[in-house]
Amino acid sequence: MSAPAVTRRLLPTSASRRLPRWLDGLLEAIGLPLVLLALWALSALVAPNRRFPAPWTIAEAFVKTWVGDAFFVDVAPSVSRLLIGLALAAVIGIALGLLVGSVRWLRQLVEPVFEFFRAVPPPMLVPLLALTLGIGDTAKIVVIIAGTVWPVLLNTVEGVRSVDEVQRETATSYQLSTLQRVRFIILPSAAPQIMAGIRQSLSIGIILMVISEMTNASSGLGYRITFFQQNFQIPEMWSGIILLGIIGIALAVLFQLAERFVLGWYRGLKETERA
Amino acid sequence: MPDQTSSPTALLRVEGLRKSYGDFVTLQNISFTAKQGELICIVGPSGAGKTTLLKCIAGLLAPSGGIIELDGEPVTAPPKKMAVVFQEYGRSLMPWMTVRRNVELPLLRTTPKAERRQLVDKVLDAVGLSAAADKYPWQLSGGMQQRVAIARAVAYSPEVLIMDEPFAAVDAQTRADLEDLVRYIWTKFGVTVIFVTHDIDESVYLGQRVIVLSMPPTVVQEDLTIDLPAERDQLTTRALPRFTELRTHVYAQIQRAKRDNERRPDHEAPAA
Amino acid sequence: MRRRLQPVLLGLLGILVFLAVWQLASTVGWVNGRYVPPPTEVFAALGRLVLDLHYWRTIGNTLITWAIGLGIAGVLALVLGTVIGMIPVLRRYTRSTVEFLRPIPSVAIIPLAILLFGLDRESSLVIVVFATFWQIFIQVLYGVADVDPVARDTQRSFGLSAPSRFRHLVLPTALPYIMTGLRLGATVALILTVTGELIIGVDGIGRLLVQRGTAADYAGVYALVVTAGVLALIINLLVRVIERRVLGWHQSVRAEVVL
Repeated sequence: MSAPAVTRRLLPTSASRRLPRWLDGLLEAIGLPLVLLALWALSALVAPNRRFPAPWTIAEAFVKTWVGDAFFVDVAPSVSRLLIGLALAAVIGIALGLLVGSVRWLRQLVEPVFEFFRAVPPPMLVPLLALTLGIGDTAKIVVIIAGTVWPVLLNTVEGVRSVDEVQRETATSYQLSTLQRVRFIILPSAAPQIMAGIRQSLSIGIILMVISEMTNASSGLGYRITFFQQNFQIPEMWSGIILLGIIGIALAVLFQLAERFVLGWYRGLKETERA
Repeated sequence: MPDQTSSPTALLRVEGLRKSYGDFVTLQNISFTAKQGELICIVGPSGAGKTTLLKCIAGLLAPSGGIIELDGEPVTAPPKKMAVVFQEYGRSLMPWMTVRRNVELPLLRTTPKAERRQLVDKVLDAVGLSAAADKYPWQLSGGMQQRVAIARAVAYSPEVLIMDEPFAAVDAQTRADLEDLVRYIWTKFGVTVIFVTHDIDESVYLGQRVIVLSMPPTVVQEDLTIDLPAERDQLTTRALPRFTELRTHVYAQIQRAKRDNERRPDHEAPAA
Repeated sequence: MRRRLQPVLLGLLGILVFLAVWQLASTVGWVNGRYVPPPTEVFAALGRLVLDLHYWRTIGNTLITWAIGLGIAGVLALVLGTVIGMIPVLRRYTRSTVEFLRPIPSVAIIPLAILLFGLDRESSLVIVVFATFWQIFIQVLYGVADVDPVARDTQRSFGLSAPSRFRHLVLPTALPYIMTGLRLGATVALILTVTGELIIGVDGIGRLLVQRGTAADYAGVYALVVTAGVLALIINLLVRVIERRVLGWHQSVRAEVVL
């Protein structure tokens, strides 16, 4: 949030304000990262530390490790398990959430149990489910679903509950069918809460994916990174960390795009309310 | 659209309508009929139970006793041939849909696409919002939003149009325009209109009949026929001496209703 | 009266139904009774654990790690969040870095932490602090940025000094956000604490769970999951109580101060 235009004109102009706007924006975006990168490179040259290899060493290791076979053996399966788990959790969470949110006695019946499940720290589900389901692909996906469904489900319930009474009455008096009600009134109205729930489930999902691969696994990103660390292949380990970071960022960006598409109207509405 | 050439019969019949919440009786005995094509206004003091009455008629609230019939059929759920325009226009329009989509919504199942589009264009034109068809409701002013709600109700082609204090939250100038819009829609599309308001002048200006409610336990205090000319406009009609007589009469009735209520030994503040 | 009792009764009924179905599934054989012990066995195991001092010491260890991690992250987030949040230049220039570092899953840093600190509590703290910091930091940023410019300019024109403005304007505005950050951070800190115990092997509930699993004490495993759930609920409750206390007081003060 920047200061209002009037104040800006009153403040003394600094050098950066005389630059064209696009350059200003670019500088803001990459300025600090470049400085940090430069510091890292400098310290690697001046005081090399085995545990913190130089950026170029990491970059080299990155290409060597992940571009090629490892991508298909470790990365792609990991990410696809994550995406499948998240997608299924979203579908189940929304569907169940619609049902539970619409039937008052049902909600009162199951809410305490569901809230408890949500409270259990998701990582504990990994060894728990491994006992029953083993360590195969299905098990890993089930673990992700088991941990990520709760925020979506409970947020959907909340969203369904808070659908405006006037909108409900409008739907009833205009004879909308149940399907129409869900599609045109309930789901869009609950969308902000549902999206918030999905956002929470994303970060939990990644954690579960990595944890389930760091324990009892023979392939996958988590496994690989641990393997590198245990075998003191430091640049490779770092490259793995960065790759996980990239995956996290990619998911966040994808989610933001989806949110902008689904909730465009919501942002417009809130801006008008604030004005 | 209802056929205006056939002889007007009782379209909506309310008899002995009663609504109570536990021990508290809101509506005691409401009886009136509305003929096809009539524009009836319902006025009453605050707390008379106007919204309760409307919701019962609209099938959104189950009465505790009495009869409500639309076209001879008892009303147990929102009837197909009825459309409601709520007071909270901001909350009755869906913010995730454009104006056009909002107006279209009730028609999705009943009308094919091409016909739908024509109908929506027609009603949007009738309320003067053709230019706003692709905007979102929150981009419009309060008065425009209410017009969208009216357009939606009209597009639905109901026999009875129920309006629950639709202009209460709108500024005076916009309200005058909207009042004329209601009369225009009423004459152009030939719907029967039940218009609830607390604004006495509005009720006399708009209605062919004005039904005055008492305080709870509410009864029909008076069923007044407005014998003003059929052609009305804000400037001349409101300046007519007969207008002043009628509005004073309604005002006196409402004052009487309030006084009678205060004089009652078990005088209690109503719930809604 | 009946209306207010109904949700409570239904909720209890739901819990009972769940336990009953679980008991049935486990004993009849819908699920493998060995690996999914019935609730009776789990509660028996829990009962045994409760009597064991080691159990309480383990919970204590988890809480210690959690508290230290939350504390460090909280202080860092408050300081950095306030400083960066109040200076627009800093906010603009750190934005890209923050948006880049934020989505990095804390678990990715585990191998690095192990490399630096071995298998001790410090390793766990690295990931706990990293994840918790972002939760609180973002909230503090929002909170500090949410200051009403009109109120700020008004206070300025009345000659209030910067520290005074901070106390009477910035702090009350940011407080709800800080509380939200605390609530989110407390939850995240617990998750990462447990993660550290599961993977790095730091002493705590997570490690005890793995041990019980290796010893084929599956009822014990479930008992520890229940423990973790209860712990999380208690922490959540505590934070909400604190939130209500702090915000309740401040809301009334705020009503006076904000012009």
